[in-house]
Amino acid sequence: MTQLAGFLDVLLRGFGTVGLAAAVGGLVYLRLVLRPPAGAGGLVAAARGRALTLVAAGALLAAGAELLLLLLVHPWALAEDSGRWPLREFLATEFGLAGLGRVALSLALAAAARWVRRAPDRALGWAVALGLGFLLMANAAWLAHAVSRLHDRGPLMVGTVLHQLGAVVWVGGLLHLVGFVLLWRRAGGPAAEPLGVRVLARFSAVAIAGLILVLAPGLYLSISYVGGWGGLIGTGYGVMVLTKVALLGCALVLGGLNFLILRRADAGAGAIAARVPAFIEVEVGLGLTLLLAAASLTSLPPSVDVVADRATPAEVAARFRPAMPRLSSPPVGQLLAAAAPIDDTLAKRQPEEYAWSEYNHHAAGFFVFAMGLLALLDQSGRARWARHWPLGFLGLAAFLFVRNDPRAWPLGPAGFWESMVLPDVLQHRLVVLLVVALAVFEWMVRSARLTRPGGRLVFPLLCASGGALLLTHSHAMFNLKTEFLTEVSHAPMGLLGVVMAWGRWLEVRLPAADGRVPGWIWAACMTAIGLILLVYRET
Amino acid sequence: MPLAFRRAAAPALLLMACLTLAAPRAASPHAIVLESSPIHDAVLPRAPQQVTLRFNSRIEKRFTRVTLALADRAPVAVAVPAGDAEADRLTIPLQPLGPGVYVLRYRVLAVDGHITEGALRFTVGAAR
Repeated sequence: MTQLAGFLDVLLRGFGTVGLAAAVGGLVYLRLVLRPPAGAGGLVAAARGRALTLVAAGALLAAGAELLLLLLVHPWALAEDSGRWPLREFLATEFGLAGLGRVALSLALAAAARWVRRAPDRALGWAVALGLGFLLMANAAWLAHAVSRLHDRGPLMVGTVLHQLGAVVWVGGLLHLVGFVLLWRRAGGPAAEPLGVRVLARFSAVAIAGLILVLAPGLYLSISYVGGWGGLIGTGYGVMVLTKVALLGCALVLGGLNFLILRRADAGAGAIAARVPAFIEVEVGLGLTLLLAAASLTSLPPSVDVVADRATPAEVAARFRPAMPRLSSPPVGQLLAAAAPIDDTLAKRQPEEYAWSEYNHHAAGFFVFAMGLLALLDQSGRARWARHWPLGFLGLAAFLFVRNDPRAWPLGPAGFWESMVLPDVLQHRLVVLLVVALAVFEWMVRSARLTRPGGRLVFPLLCASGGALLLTHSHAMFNLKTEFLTEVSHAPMGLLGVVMAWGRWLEVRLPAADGRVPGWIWAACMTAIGLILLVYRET
Repeated sequence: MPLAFRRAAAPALLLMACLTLAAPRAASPHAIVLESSPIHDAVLPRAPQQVTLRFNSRIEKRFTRVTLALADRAPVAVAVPAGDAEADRLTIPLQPLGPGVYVLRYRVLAVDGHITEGALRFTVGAAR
């Protein structure tokens, strides 16, 4: 129960931050990027109305996510032996009170945004909305990890709020920019409405300021929570910080490309209209992934606190050292005889369990690596038959279905329906269904059976969510070091999954000539994921 | 929103929801034990009168739940006094214990709202 509650906690905190980005980031976007003058009409008035709606929606999302945490997830996870939920006592804690504060401020901001939308030229409405946005950010200090620290609590709380403010301004601004670009295109794009180019240029300046605000306090927080190189490489927290840096790097490359396109003297209206929206969409995707990764980071123990359970660089490197994949697996009977009961959290895993799991990863790696190679061949245009590579997912799904749960049908003693009530088995079967869905959708796209434009976006959206989940997914509960070393390859695979997803997105959304490079990048990422799986080891 | 987005959104969101359901095991110990007495897997000649846990975070003590189990017997709830002055420490008094392998399981709420479970195993008497 605690584990499920922990996962929901990460997700809801992530959604809450996304809501905060749309709300508070939207206010900054409205005042510094869109800058609607009094009595504005046309595109500016439409963009202002849309942005205020998004501000209100973001505030409601932040309030809703917090309410679910306060009224449902935490009281449920803290239920007493009698089954009673200690709701009143929980709401009286420091966290409960701060959470109620966020709910009240968010609801007030949603109402203020509605008020400003009705009377956009009244300064009082804007002042109230901005004041509420400021209070919401200040309130975030009492909901962050820093509040529970024993030392340097105050500076860490301030650093966290500034770091979050930078992220909220940047990602929230991007979200609003997507909405603006859609309106701008409808109004005729850069050729008919030059205001859009000015808005994009202003956003570049605000985004740079936001990123400075992300990086400077982020550096202070990293030094305080990670402590040194050993903590960066040898703990889950450190690896997640590295992942965030890598994601930020990818987003900066795209932001830089946008910056150059907008400022190049020879960039015509066509170049801007064709490329900039796709880059912004991908920046939004990367930004949202970053916010989810940040929420996941708060659930991990800071590296400075993980001393005895810290892995050495040599131990981490050993997990990535190439070795021959396992070509055989222990028989299922031998595995079941050796394995400890599922609920024995203190039991040591047996060699048969490691061997079973490594074989599963290696075989899955074979499927993914083969599909990656075929996708690369397909990109080359030299083998038309290679476009059927998504069918490899069907083989992967069949393998996972048989091997994922050795205690259940068809290998184990538990029957198919009987085992469906086990949470692990149910989860694994849902994953199998999703892999089948990936195969069907992408194969139909590749073989021209699915020609709707939206159909081409299913694959990247699924890969992006899968990659993000891999980044936010950790099994470590009792054996920090062992589990960290088992899952250390999840971070690069999750990162590659995210790059793969958004590479494919760019390939679909950019003009054909511009989409070639992202096309090669995503296929290479899939091949690399296959390679990591092929060398995966748990011992 | 362009048509392409709308058409992709329905199946993709549905599948993303399934993915979300499919990964509910993600949880990590946010508040970890920095120090304990007795230490994990300790073999003690005499039964301890109390267990002390020191965490890396401030703890909301009134939500702490502790159980103690001897070998494979059913766990028994242990009362935890909330009066300990230090915000990061839990002192758990124990009834007199006989020889055997004990597993103490705890669930704590950190001040930042993260819930953590953990376990501490110790042996009273000769190691088995």
